[in-house]
Amino acid sequence: MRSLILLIPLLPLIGFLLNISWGKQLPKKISGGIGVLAVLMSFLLVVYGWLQSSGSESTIDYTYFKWIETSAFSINFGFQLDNLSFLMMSIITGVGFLIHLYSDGYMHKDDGYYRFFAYLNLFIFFMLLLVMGSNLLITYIGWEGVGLCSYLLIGFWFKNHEYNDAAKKAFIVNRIGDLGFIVGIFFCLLNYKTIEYAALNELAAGSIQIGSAVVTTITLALFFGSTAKSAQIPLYTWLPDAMAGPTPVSALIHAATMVTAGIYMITRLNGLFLAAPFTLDVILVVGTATALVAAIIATRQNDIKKVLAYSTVSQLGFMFAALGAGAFVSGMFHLTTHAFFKALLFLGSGSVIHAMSGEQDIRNMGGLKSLKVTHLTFLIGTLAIAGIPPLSGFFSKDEILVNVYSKSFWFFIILFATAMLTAYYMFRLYFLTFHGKFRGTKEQADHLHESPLSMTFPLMVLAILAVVGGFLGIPEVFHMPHTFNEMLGKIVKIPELTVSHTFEYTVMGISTLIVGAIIYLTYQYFVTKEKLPSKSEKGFWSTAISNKFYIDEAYDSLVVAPVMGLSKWLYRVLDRSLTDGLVNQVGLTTLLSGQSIRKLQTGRTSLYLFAMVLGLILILCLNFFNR
Amino acid sequence: MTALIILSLLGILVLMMGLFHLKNKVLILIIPVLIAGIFLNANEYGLNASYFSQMVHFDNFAISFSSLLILTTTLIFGLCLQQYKTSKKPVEDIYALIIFSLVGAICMVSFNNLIMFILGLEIMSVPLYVLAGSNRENVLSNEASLKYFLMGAFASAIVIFGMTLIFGATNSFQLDEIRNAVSGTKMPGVLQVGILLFIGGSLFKAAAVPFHFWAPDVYQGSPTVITAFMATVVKTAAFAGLFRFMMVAFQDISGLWVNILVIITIATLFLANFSALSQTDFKRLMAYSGISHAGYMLIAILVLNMNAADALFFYSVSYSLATIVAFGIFLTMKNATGEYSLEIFKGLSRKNPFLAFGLVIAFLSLAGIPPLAGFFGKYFIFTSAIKGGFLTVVIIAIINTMIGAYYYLKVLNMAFTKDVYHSAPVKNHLLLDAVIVFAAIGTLILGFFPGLLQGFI
Repeated sequence: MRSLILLIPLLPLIGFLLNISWGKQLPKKISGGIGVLAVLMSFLLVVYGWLQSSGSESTIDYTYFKWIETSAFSINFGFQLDNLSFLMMSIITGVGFLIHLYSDGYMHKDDGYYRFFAYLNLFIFFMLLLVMGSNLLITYIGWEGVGLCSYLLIGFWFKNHEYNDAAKKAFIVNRIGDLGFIVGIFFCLLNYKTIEYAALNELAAGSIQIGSAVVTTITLALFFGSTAKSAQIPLYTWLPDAMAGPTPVSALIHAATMVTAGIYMITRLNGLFLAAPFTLDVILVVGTATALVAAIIATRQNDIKKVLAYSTVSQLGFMFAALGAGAFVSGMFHLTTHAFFKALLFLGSGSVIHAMSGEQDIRNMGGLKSLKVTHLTFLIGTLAIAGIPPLSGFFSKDEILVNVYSKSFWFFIILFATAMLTAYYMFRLYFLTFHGKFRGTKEQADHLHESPLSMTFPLMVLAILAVVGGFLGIPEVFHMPHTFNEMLGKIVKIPELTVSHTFEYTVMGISTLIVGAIIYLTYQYFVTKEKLPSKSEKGFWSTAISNKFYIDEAYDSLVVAPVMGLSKWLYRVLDRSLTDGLVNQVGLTTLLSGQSIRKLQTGRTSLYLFAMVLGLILILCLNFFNR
Repeated sequence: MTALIILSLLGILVLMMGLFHLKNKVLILIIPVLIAGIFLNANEYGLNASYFSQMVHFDNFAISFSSLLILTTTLIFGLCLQQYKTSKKPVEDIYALIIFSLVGAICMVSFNNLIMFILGLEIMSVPLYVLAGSNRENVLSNEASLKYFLMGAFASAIVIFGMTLIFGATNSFQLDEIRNAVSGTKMPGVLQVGILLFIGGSLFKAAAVPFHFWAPDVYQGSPTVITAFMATVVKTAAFAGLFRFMMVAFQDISGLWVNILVIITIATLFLANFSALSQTDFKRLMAYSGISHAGYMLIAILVLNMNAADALFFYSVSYSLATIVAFGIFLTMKNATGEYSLEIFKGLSRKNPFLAFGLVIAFLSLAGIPPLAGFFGKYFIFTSAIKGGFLTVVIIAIINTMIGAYYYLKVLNMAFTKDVYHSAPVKNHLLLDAVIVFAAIGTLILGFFPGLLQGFI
C-alpha cells in the first residue's frame, strides 16, 4: 500500500519525463497515450486506495523519510491520506483524466502536442503533491509547482505576446500570494515548531489560545496566499487573463483543481482557522465581496471564456464565504460540484470554440443547437450552476447560503443576490451562444461541426456528474443521508445549524422561483427580442462594469508602473554604474595581478628550490618572532 | 589492513603479468580487485585494530580515508583505458606502479609511527617520479619527472630532518608517546623547528605555497591520468597524513605553529587563485585549482578537531570526485583534438551535451556552488573554522572562492559558446562515461544529502 500510494503522484511524473524527453520524436498517438494513461492509472490507484482505506477509521500517515532536520524542528516527507485528501485526489485524477482525454481531440493539430501533455502531467503530479502532503512544506512544493505549470500552460502558445504577458501576470500575482504562504509557514515553525497538519490542528484544539495574535497572523498570512492561488480580492485579476491558455487548461487548472488549492488548504487546517475568529470574518467578507464583484463583471463580458472565468472567481468567492462561516464541509461540497459543472462548461465552451474555428465572442455566435451533444451538456452545466433543483449546484449553493445565514443576515442577502446574478449571466451566455440566429461568418457556418468523440465523451460524463453530484450532500430537511458530512465529519468540524426547516424550504422555493423568472426574462430579452450586447457601453455603471471596474488599470498605475519605474532607476543607477563599475574594476585589477604573479613560475628548478628554502627560512624566522 | 595486503599482492601480480603482454586486459583484474578492496576495507570500520607492534593503526579515520583513496584510484583506472588504449608499449608496469603508489598513500593515512609515515611517503613518491616520466618520448614528461624527483627528494629530506628533531625532543616516533611527551613539561625549542620542518615537507606533496612550484610544471608534463592521480590521491593522502599526525600528537600545543600555518594558508589561497586566472592550459589550470583547494583543506588542519576531520573527509571526497570528472572529460577532448589548451572545450555543449553536463557539475562543484558536493565541502570546513575561532581566515577564503569562480566559470563559458573550436567529433567511451556518471552522480547526491558522510570519523 505504502509504495502503491507513492505511485499515484509518480505515474504522472513519469509521463511528464517521458514526454518532455522523447515526446518530440514519438508519434502523437503514443505521446498522447502516455499522458492519458498515466493519469488514468493514477486515478484507478486513487479509487483502489480509497476503497482499501475506507474501512479504517483514522487517518493514514505514510512518512517516507526525514527531510529536513535541525535542532529546533524536523520536517518529514510524508503523505497524509484521509477522506479529504482522497476526495481531492479523485477529483484531480478523475476530472484530470477526462480533460486529458478531451485534450487529445482538442490539441490534435497543434505542434506542441507532446509538450502540452508533458505539462498537463506535470501539473497533475504537483497538484497531487499539494493535496497529499502531510505538512505545509510539501503542500508548498505542490503549490509552487502548479503555479509553474499554470504559467507554462497559459503561455503555451508562446509566440503570441499577449499570451506571454498573461502568463507572466499569473505567475507574478501568484508569487505575491506565495510570499504570504511562506511567511505563514515560517511563523508556524517559529511559534509552534511544527508544520504537520495533524499536529497543528491538535495544537489548535488544545494549547493555542483562541484569537491570539500569533494564530491570527499565521492564518491571515496563509489566507493571503490563498487569495492569489484561488483568485480572490485583491489578487484575482490574473485568472480572467489566464484564459489565454488552451481551453482544457482553463477547465482543469483554472476551474476545477488548482484554483481550489486555497480552499483545500484552509479546510485541511480548519482547526487552526477556527482558533482565529478574526481571520474567518476576513475570509467571509473577502469571499462575499469577490463573489458579488465577479458576478457583476461577468454580466457584461462578451468573451465566452471570460464570462466563465469571472463566474469561476465568483463561485470561488462562494466557497470562501462558506469557509468564513465555518462551514468547511459545505465549501468542499461546492468545490466538488463546481469542479464537475465548471469543467463541463469550460470543455463545452472549448467545443464551441473548436466548432467556430477559434471564435470566442458570443456576439458572433448564436443558433449553435446543431452541436447536439455540446448544446445539451452545456445546458445541463448552466442549469447546475444556476441552481435549478435537483442538479448539483442547487444543493451545494443552498447549503452555503443557509450556513452563511446562520452567521449573518446581510451576507446571506448579498450572496443570495449574487446567486441570482449567476443565473442571469449564465443564461445570457447560453442563449446568446446556442439560440437565436447564427451571427458568424459564412466560412464559420460551413465549417460548423460537432467535436469528435474524444471530446464529447468527457462532456457526457461530466454532465452526468453535474446532474447527480448534488446527491452527495442532500440537506438534512429532506431526511436523506448527507454523504459529505459523514465522509468529512471526522476531519472537519461541522457547525450546528440553527436555521429552522421552514426557512430552508422558503429559501429553496424562493430562489428556484426567482431563477425561473430570470431565465424567462433573459430568454425574452436575448432570444425573442434578439437584443445583442452593444459594442459601446453608455452610462456610468455600464462603462464601469464592462471595463471590469478599472481594477486592472488601477493596479497598473498604482503598483506595476511605480515598481517598473523604480527597477529601471535601480538598473540604471545602482546596477549599471555602481555595481557593474565596481565589479568590473575589481575584476580587472584581479586579472592584472594574476598576470604579474604568473611570472613567478619560470620553469627553472633551481629557482623553485631556492624559493622553497627561502620559504622555509622565512617560516623559521617568523617562528622566532612568534614565540 | 586486509586491503593493504591485497593491494600489495595485486601490484606484484600485475607487474608479473607484464610477461604475457596482456596490456589493457589486466584492467579486468585490477578494477574488480580494487572494488573488492574498498568493501574489505570498509568492513574493518569500527574495529580500531593496530598492527606491526602498533606501527599502523586502522581507526575510523584511516579506514574512511583509505576507502576514499582506493575508490579514487579505481575511478582513475577507469580513465586509464582511454589514455593507454592505443599504447604500443606495455602498460602493466605503469598500472603496477599506480597500485604501489596507492599502497604508500594508504600507509600515510593509517600510520601510528613516524617511521611508517616516511615509509608510506616514499612508497607513494618513488613510483610517482617514474610515472610522471612514463611518457618516455615526450620531453615535457621527462622534464616533469626530473623536476618532481629533485624537488621531492629535497622535500623528503626536510621531512626527515624535522622528524629527527621531533625525535630528539620527545624521544619517540610513536604518535601517542609523542603526545604524552609534549603535554606537561616544557619542551626544548628544537621541537617547534622540527614540527615546522615536518609540516613544510609534507605540504610539498599537498602543493601548498611556498612548496607548490613543482605542481604546474609536473601536472602539465605528466600523462593525464597520472596528473589526475597526483591531484586527487596524493593530495588527499598528504593532507590526511598531516592532519592525523598533528591531531594525535600536537593538538594540545597548537599555539606553537598555528600562526605560521595561517600565513601559509592565506598565501596559498591568494597565490593559487590569482595565478589560475590567466591560465590557458587545462592541466596548469587544474594544478593551480588544486593548490587553491589545498588552501581550503589547510583550514581544516588549523582547526584540528573531530569536526574538522569530518569536514576534511567530506572535502576530500567532493574534491576528488569533481576533479576526476574534469580530468575524464579533458581526456576525451584531448584525444579528439590532440591539444591541451582550454580552447578545446569550446562548443562542447553542441557536440556532446552529455560531457558538457558532466563538466558543469564538476566545475560548479569545484567552484563551490550549491547544491553540489563542493559547496558543502567548503561549508563544513568554514563552519568548523568559525567555531574554532578562525573567522578572518574564513572571510579571506570566501573572497578567494569568489575569485576562483571566475576561472571555473570561464571554462564552462567556453563549453557553451556557439563557435566550435575543433570540428573533430567527440566520441563517448563506455568505461570513461561510467566513471563520469558515477562521480557526477556522487557529486549530486552528496550535494542533496550532505548528511550521508557526516560523522564517519
